[in-house]
Amino acid sequence: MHLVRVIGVHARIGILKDLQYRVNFAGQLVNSALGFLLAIGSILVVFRHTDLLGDWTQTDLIMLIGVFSIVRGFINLFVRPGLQAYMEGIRTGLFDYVLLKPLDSQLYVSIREFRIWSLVDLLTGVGLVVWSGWVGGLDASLFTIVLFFVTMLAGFSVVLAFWFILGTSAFWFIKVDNIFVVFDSLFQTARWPLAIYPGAVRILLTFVVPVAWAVTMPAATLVGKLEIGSLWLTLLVPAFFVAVSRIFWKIGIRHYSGASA
Amino acid sequence: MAPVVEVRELTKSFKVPVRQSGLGAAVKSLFDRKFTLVDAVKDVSFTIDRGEIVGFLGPNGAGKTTTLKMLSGLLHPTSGTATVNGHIPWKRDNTYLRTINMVMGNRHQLSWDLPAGDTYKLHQAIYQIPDDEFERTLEELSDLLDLHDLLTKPVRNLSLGERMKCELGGALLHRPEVMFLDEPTLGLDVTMQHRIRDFVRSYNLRHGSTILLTSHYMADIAALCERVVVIHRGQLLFDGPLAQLVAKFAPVKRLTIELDSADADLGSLGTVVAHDGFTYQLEVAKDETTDVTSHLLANYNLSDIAVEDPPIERVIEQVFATE
Repeated sequence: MHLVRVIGVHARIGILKDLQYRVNFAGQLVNSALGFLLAIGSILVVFRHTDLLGDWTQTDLIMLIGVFSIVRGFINLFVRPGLQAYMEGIRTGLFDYVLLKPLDSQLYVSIREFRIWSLVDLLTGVGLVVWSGWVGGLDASLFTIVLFFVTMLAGFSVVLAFWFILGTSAFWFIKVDNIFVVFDSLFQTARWPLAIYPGAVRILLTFVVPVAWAVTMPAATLVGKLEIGSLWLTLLVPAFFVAVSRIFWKIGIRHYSGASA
Repeated sequence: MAPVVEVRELTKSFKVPVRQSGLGAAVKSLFDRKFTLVDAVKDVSFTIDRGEIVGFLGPNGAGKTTTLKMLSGLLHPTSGTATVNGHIPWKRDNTYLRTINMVMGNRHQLSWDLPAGDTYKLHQAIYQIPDDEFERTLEELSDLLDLHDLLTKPVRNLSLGERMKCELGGALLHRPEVMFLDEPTLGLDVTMQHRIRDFVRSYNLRHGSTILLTSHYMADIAALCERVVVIHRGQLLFDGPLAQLVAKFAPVKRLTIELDSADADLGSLGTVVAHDGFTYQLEVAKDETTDVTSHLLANYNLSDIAVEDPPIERVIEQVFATE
């Protein structure tokens, strides 16, 4: 209950802040529109030459792009701004104030900032998922829906944990803004289903850089391509990445030396 | 009564990268970084009782802030132990963090774009302060700090002093039992320094909270702290009442003399630190004070004489200069 309240107040403050800068809303709209056109455009181009990519149809891929947008919206809504504020805080010493709060510091960092306009991406994603479900004749059984939410949750946790693993290096290296660029490049791998990558790369994209995995799983669930045999991964991969990110974080806090006064 | 703060042989060393200046050295250090270990705090021990206001004195880089940061749980020490309110600070238990807070004069935590009142709501949620208690505390703090008009203005439109008042208010909303104030009057004008000082004193009297304070301004320490802890190069030099500090470290007394002559040569008696018309200020070694005074009385036509300790700033300056 406490946590819900803290998240609520932070979201409220985030909205208050964002409402002061309306231009950002316009910027976000343009950004989302461009991202959307680019994603859909590249699919249309690819499918001029083929009807199937791996065993994914054009509608299936639009479903994937929908999930991709949702995950991107999730990242930009609070993961990225939170981590950005945290890295900035390490450099300026403002992170001191995070550590002073009687809350789990890792949790607090991830819910502290909130960029409301990024909801545009998230909603675009939801729109695409619904549309492609409609066109592709989605089997909307309760089981599928529940499974979708479970895999989506797994995806969110994995992405959040992965960001933390990258971001925690700030405790040692202080200035690591390039991490964002690195992540954005890696995240592009998630535009395509895991199935089209060769075996070794697929393992890499599941267990080392799990972003493509995080996006493919929920999309595969909706288009009926989730192999029940790989369902155990839905628990294992997030558990693994969350555990590693926690360990990193704990070690990092011990190394935190603060910006000198 | 058990002390609130107990510190035993606390030590903190930092690994600091070293390199020569210049481009060549910068490129070289990309591949081959050299570090040295610097002891920011070394074997420091002290205890503080509930309700005390203790001042930390020391030049820049003496280890004051590092000590405070270890006590507030921000930094892990290299060795040594400390307990505050029965907790080991760097374990950062939520129950511990709920009973303390730290304010840093050079770092502000209020959201720049929003009125302080909005950020206060955040603190209310984080510290789980019930509504009625929050309102009561806010009312009290607003009265003490004169915040009423400030809380609704965006923080970026406040002056430095007003911002500091809002920072202090925000830090005290959960009524911490132990407060760490790191240079709370940094950069403020004299009037505002007074306000902040008055506030800290009355807050301490009202709630009996324990306050550890660092400041560059001797006036802050002199006004607020009966007890000072002097740290120099990470080591504890002195711990006791302010008056004793002067007695211990001032090797001289200051004589202010008024003569009937404006050109007396007193150089053979001690160091003339000031001379303005018929008034002379003379610094004399402590154990020679009696002899010099009787010599002056016997040989000069004195209209006035006063024997005092030198100003605290000067004593401190000498302490830090002699190492």
